[in-house]
Amino acid sequence: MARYVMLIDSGVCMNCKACVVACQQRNHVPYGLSRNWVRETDSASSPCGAAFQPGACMHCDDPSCVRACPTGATWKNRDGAVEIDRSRCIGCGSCIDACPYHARFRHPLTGTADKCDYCRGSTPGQTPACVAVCPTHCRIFGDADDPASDAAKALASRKAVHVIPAGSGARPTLAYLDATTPAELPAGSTGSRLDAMRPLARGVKWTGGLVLAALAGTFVRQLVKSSEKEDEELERERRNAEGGRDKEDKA
Amino acid sequence: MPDGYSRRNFLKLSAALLAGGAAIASPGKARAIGYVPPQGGPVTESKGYCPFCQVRCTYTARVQDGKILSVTGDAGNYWTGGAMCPKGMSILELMDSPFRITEPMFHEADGSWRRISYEEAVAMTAERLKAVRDKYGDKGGNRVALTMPLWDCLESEIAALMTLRTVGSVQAMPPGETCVSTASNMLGLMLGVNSGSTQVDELLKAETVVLWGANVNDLYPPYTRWLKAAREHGARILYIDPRRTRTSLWCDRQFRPQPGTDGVLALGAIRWVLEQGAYDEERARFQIEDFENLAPQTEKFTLERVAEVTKLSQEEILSFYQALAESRRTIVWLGGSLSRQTNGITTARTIILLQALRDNLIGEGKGMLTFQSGKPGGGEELVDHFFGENKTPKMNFRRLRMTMEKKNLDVLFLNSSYRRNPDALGVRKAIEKVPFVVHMGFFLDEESEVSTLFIPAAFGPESQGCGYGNENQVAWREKLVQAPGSCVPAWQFYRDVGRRLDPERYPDFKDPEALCRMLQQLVPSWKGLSVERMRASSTVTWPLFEEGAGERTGTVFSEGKLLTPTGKMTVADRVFGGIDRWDYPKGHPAARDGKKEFPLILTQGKQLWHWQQTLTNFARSMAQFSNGRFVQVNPRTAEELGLVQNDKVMLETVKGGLECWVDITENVLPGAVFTPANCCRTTPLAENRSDSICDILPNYWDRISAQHNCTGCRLRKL
Repeated sequence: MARYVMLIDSGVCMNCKACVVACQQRNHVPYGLSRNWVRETDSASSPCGAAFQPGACMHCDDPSCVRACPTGATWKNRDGAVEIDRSRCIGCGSCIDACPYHARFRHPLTGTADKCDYCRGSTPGQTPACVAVCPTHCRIFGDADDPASDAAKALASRKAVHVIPAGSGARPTLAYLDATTPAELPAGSTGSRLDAMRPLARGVKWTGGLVLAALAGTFVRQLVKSSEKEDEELERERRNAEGGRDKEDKA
Repeated sequence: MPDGYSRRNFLKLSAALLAGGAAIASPGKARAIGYVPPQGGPVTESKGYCPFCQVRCTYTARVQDGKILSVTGDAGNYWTGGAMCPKGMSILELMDSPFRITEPMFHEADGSWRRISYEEAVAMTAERLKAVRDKYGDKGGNRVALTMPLWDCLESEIAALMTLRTVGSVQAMPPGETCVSTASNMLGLMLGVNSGSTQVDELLKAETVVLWGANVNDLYPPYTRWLKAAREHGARILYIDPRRTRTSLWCDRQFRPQPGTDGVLALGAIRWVLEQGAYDEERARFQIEDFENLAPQTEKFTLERVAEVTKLSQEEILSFYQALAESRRTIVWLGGSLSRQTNGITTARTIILLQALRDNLIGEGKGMLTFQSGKPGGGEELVDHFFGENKTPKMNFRRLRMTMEKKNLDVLFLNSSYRRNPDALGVRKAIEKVPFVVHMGFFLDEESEVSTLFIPAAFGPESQGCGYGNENQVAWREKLVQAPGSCVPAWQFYRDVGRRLDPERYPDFKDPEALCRMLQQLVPSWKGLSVERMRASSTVTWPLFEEGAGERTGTVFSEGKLLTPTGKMTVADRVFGGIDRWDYPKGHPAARDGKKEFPLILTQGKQLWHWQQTLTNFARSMAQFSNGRFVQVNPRTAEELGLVQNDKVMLETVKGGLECWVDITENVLPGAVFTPANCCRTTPLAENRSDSICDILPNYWDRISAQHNCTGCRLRKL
């Protein structure tokens, strides 16, 4: 089984943002929103005053977004990718809140959660757009278990560095080569708060589910219930009411 | 209480509420539950090329149902390696832009636009040209002019040149006149080739690469791979630029002289090399006619003088000179900014002489590169074939402007942006004196404001044809999609006008392929550039004199000598004099004409995601990275002026002022101001909107082209 990963040599990134535009176009993401990014950090040691760190969905192991999804629309594939099935996504936003990297967003046209899928949805089998257009080849994508792949070669010869938001416990598979700035991300409020609420959320989910099922059952029962009987009831009520009015008139 | 609060009514009501609710929620925007993406027809892939900078990246376009879905760099392109920059990708958005004008329009006297048909537009233009021909006969040539570039393909350029010839005009202004004119003229004068003398892949063979004001990473992102590869091959990259840029990330060492003082650094280098004896006199004399003039002409540029003018430390200067003196193979890449200062002629000449002195011009891993390294010729030969030779001297833009001001121009085909010229408002006034201005464009912009006729142009993917770029590359592209409305490629418009005027001489061609085949048939240097060969590969290098011939690569001095008539260059030039005449650029605060009221040095240049003052300003995909008109100043300058980050200021020159916001950064030197060159007034996108920088740039003239860089300015807090 393949194990796909993205590796980034952030030392050669010059923040041209070709990866961002290529991704937006390939995956029909409206300009202004994005599946990937280049983080800029002020850096006195950088020759141009800033350090650049390209990123995208980290395709984590045991991802918090997958745990947060109530419908099973997102899951960790055995080949390493975190996938979204848009037909199962209800657009609730739980996964968006749960991602400590803010790698997900709600697509304004589909209403579903959206994030990097290694361009599988738009161009299955092809090199992801961000990797293909990068002028400095700072993004490397491939099967880490295939020794012939660029990804495996990079992993064999260089140190893989993971950037983890403080306290998130995330286990990203996207790795930076040798070193990157920033080395750690500040703690995000979203992931941990949702984790704390998880038992409650699970309870609400089950209770809500049962209530919904009961409601649906009642609804269906009402649909199939004989309407003639109801008409009779209505008629009776009307007659009773008329009778009452007669009495009042007579009075 | 209404009769009927029954369960049935409850059901009806809830169903209605649900439906209504769904309608209000706009299902088009909220298809979350069960959303399945639309499928569409089959997706095909075709090759295209980017219209913007000179790299001319080829790309693979995915086309579905007559629409381009995405473009990705062409992995088979040797020069780009499959890279593409964001501005190139913006073409996808521009083609479908809601702001695009897709019908011809006539500008009424009251300023309103009247929609007309394409046929009317062609007839109207032909009539105007015919009137000039009827009235002036053979002498009417200089009453019609055209500004380049044309956006879509080489065939469009040829078609336009032929249309001018129907009235005897040769006045097509090259776009480079305000960009790299100085460098290209000096290279032509001294090397015999008016572009780079070598190709970018030769960087790999160099020991030292000097990026002299050449901000490659910001301007040519796809070419950064060559800098990377050069370093991996052991080349040392030295970058000379007062400003820290993306290129700073990729060099071994950057030197930051005061803006406008590069010439002094080069003059000092020659003096130092001579003093150290770090040259081969025989080789130097082989390339320099009056070698004996070098020493006296550089004598006064001592280390102390260089340090004083450039404000570099003597240690820095020495380390640069030593690197030059030790390097056996050096390529110098001349940046565009050097060509935009009045002392650029001296600077470029001195740098070329320095390369000759160190014998770094002829041979592998040696030579000069510029930001417009090569454009295939041959187009004019084809035009001459049909219209005969025309020896009328060509006007430069300065003369064209005077002609317009004197009301001696009757028809102007305005293709490029007039705002690329300094004193743009003055240029605009001159254009307003031309009675008939035809603008082929895409949006209602500053050019359409001064036009009589607006012809909606086609973007590259909407027409076939070949494009050219650096390294003398030629790339072929098929028509990928249909242009919207009445948009036409330029070749079609110019052909239709030309054929109507002069059906006997103007050749009949149905598409660019037919015209391109004429090139192969009639122009020797194009013989090997068959449409088939271009179709089969990403790019082919011009010239190719034989079918199936190998492409010429590397240095242009393949015969071991310079290509000037004498095979040599001179120190003291007949027209431009000696190099010892170095002075600050005109308008510079330290120059003789510098003004005390404008003590800061104004530099302007491109931002990575923008091309000129035109198209990319209309793209949201680029606006998402833009933040309007800003000025960058050093923290020390900001402190002196009492400015803080994001302050609003007026950037003022002798010509006028622009409102800007202040970005404080160490990336510019104290005393200098940088502002982006793009931004236009007419874009609907606020992020890219501002009056043109050229509106406030004075126009200095240096005998070759219009100059403006390093003029004095000031910042007034608002």
